[in-house]
Amino acid sequence: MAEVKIVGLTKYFGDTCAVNHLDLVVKDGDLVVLLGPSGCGKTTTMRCVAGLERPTYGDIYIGERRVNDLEPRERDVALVFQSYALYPHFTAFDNIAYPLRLRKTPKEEINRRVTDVAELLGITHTLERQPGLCSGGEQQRIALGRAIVREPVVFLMDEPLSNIDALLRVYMRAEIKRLQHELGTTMIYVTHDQVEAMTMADMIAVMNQGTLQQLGTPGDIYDVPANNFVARFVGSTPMNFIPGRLRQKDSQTVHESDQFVIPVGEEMAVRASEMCPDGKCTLGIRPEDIRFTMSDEGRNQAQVFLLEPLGSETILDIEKEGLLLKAKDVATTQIRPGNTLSLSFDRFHLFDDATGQAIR
Amino acid sequence: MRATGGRDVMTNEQAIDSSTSEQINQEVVLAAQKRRLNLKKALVVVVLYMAAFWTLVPMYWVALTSVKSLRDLAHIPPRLFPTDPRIDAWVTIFERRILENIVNSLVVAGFATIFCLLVAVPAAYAATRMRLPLRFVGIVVALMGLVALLPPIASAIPLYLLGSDLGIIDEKYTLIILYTVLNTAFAVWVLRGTFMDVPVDVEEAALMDGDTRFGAVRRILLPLIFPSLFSIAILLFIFNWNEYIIALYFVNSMSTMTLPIAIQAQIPQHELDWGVVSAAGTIAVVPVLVAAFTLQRFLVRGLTFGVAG
Repeated sequence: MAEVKIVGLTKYFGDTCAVNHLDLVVKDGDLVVLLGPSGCGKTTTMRCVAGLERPTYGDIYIGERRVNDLEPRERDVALVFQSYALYPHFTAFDNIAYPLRLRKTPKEEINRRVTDVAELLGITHTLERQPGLCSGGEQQRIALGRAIVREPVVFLMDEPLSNIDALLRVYMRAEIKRLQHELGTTMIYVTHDQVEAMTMADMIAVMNQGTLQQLGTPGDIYDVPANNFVARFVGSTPMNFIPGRLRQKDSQTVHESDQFVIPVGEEMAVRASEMCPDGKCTLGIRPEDIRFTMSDEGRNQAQVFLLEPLGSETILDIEKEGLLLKAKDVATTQIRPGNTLSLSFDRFHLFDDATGQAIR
Repeated sequence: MRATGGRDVMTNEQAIDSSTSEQINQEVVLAAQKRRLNLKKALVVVVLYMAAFWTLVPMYWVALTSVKSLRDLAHIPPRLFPTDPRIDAWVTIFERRILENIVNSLVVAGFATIFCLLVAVPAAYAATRMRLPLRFVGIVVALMGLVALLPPIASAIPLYLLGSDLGIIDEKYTLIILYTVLNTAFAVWVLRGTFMDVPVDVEEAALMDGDTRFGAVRRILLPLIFPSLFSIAILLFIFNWNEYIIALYFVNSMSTMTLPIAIQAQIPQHELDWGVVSAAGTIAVVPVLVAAFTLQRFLVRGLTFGVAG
């Protein structure tokens, strides 16, 4: 059990900067998800913590120890690889027992601990088999078992669920989270799947192009995104963006775009005038925050051109003068393609076009 | 077909109709494919038999010659089976202490193979796993390829001059050193491909599990590539066993000669005892055949390791 502290981590591969001055504290017992698109530096960050890469600049602490110069085996962290990286020539039992054997654990204890872990993960029946003869889900669990069995101070997970089928993934997601809570071990979990991040994390660190964009609880990340990248990346139906500028109209501030005129609250207008004096900003709104009525009245009208029924709800694809929006409605919606809707926008975010930062 | 036709009774019959005709069509197509396949297979078999014939007949002929009597040898048309088999040649060859040359060959080929692998395995590992500047690795590997492609005769004379300056001509260990050096480039090339096929993840997993780098190589990497390693060792051994040009320059007394040179030494200036030369030649082929037959499973797996991925 330990806290992981990353201070000013910078990693170059040749001239390419993979991680740029990253500061991150993972509290003891927390599950922190590093989330970002491929190539954003999340895996590199994790490999630096693991000791498989040396930071170019910056320090990494596990507990009280600065671990920059320690070999992976001296750090007492366990890593589950995306490919599982099981030893193909060992049986599942030997795979799980390997870290214990290297630590010269007595034989009876190895037997006991491997059996316990196998039981915990429900893979007792695979123990005598080689990994090649096990299913993807079983391999995944063997890899987890190998990480758990030695009771490390930190777990590192490198997209462990991306190679198994969708149904099993949903199940394993919960399984890993349950395990982490039961063991109480600090975990850093790398993924590009925002659903995985939202469902599992205590804290999410969103990364892009080697820099940390936002660190927060899943709720914060979703409801109060720090910038337009985070807003765009998180949410299974992506946020709608409406480019435009702020204007004074009838003694009220409005966000005016080619398509819509949307009134902006007083407080936000004040902040916007401070942060973004030229007024050029993009309005972002989540699909579920777009309200609509079936009427031809009102300023902000648009036409539905497609329905995407998802079973539990329906996504409405709305178009106005080249701008596409997605809104959500109940599954039994009466709206049909071709209907004209009157839209209203209440909860939304404004992002400064110059910096991409959220105005709040 | 029937399932989709089920919605409409009218089209049901049509559906069945078309499905049966489709079935027949399919059978025709399948039969044609099968015939084509058989033809292809037959062709492959014929070619393989021809290749086997091409390779095996000379070997048979050499073995046959070693037990033929003089009369059979001189007979025209040549006889495919000996009418009066003799073992004179075999007696002679062992009287001439060919056994010593066999041992020489075994020692030289064996040690050269072992030393070569001892150098090549770490070199290939470094070339694939260490994060060295790409250009540097590229140049070194290209140079090594160049060395491997160089005909041995090109280096034989300069090496001989060097060897005679150092006074190490006509020694077995000189051959061991030379074979080691000359084969290392080839071995690194092949091993490099093999190492690249083993995902780095597996080794890194071992590091994370608490192993040292050396331990990870010994416990994880080498067992994984053992079949390839083994077939490369066999190949190297056969190269060394058969090597002629270098040995021709570097050994000249009967007690240090390797088998290929010893065979040549059986050919005197004026008369040629075909039986003796053939007997020696037969002996030279035996280990190669044994290696090929007992290890063919390994050899195929090892040589295709890179292809299969």
